[in-house]
Amino acid sequence: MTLVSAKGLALGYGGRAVLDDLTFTVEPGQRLAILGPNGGGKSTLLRALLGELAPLAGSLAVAGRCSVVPQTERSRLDYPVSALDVATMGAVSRLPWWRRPGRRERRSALAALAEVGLEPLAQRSFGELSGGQRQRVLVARALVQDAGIVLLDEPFTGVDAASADVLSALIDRLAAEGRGVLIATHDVDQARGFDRVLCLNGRQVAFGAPDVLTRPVLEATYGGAIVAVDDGSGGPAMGILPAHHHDHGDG
Amino acid sequence: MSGAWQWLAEPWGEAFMQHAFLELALVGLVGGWLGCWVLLYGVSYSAESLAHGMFPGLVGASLLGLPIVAGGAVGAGAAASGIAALGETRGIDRDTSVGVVITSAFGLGALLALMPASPPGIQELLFGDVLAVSRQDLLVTALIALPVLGLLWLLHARLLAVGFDRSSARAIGIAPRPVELAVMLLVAAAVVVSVQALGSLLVVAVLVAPAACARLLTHRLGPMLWVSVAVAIAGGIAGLYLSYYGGTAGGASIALCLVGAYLVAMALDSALRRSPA
Repeated sequence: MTLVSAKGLALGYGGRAVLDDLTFTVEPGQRLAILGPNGGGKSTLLRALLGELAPLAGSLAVAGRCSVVPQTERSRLDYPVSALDVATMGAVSRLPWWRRPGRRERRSALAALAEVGLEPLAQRSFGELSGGQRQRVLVARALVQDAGIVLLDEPFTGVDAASADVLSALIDRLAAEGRGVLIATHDVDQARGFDRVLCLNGRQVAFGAPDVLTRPVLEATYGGAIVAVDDGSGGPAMGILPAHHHDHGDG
Repeated sequence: MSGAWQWLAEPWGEAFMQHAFLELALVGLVGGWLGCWVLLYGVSYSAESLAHGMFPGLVGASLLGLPIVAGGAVGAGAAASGIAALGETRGIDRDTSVGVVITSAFGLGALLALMPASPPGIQELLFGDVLAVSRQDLLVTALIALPVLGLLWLLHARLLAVGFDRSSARAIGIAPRPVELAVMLLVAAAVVVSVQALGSLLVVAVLVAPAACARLLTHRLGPMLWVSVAVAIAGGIAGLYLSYYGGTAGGASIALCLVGAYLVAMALDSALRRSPA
């Protein structure tokens, strides 16, 4: 069963398309990297997958529950909650409004925290955790939601190397369990390691296996802001100069 | 020793003081608990505006002999529509429209309340008169306070999730708007609950000061709620003593004690921060 299927999809606000001509699929167990500059339409696509935005044209079919792991720098660090409280939030939408999360929900939140390797820190204040740990707590929250499709919005931004490794392993495991995992990212090298890539820049530039990431495709995606980087391995590597790295609005 | 005990016990022999205490316990429960959400949602100013915007409705209801709840609802609805309508007007931003509508509403309410023809006691809606609370007033307060407390209990998880991160609340399947609306409706109900004790002008003291105090002293929501409620009730009792022995106005004494508790907590907090752990 295909988890996400877009055909000739156009998305935008107030009748004006900011993203056009999308045709792609996500199958169970696939990891899809979404590449594109800030303002290229990544967030718009995530909103549409959540059902917040109706297509202007074409069709978008999403099979099953979608869960977003937002950028951790948007969360409030002074908010008086523990890691366990945050993970438990994932269970709330499944309960009717008059039900409070109980022992069962907290147990599944603890299990999810164990899965991301943070069970010992369950009672720690969310704001006291490192950026990478906070990101993992938000992944745990998505696990509690038990969504078939997990969307990660630039999960590696501001994350230390150790946490990045844990996150990568988590992404692999989510996919191995049969989920569809969509990862919005700036990291082209990392995207090459995933199953599919989708390049966006106001429209769909490319979709397919990572070998579609040729220089012309990357140039079309990032508007030519690519620099060749000598990574010391002898072969050419490519880096990207994000145009507005601090713009986390509708990136 | 017995002198101090007598000093402490003497006020509670009076029926009006017992009524005042029960009234303040209910106000403290509602204000202290809901106040934590007012603080975490950053809607203190909206709460104050709502309290003032409802004022002409409360006065109108009292003048017409209608239930104060109905007056409060009409007042809040009228103020909200006024703000929305003015906000749509070109050249007037939302902040200005709130300022204009709330000031006009409050002015109108004060005009009605202070008219020579108005029955005595209606001024209580401005500053409150907790010492004049009757058995029937207590019953009305309880009838509004209990559903408010029940809703706060039931909605807890949703309030927590939306307050944590509004934009990602959607991502976990919770629509933030109904939750935010619920907060403001609960604030409106809390204003009606507290207006008899503290008056329209001082209601916000019980919604903001105890929660702000608790925020300084705790790092988790659970303890914060308890500390806030405890501070709200303790501030009410301290205010009653001040009023009883000092002959000062009840509502103002209570508001003063609540704000005093916050100042003490602030001094404590900064002293703790300065001293090495």
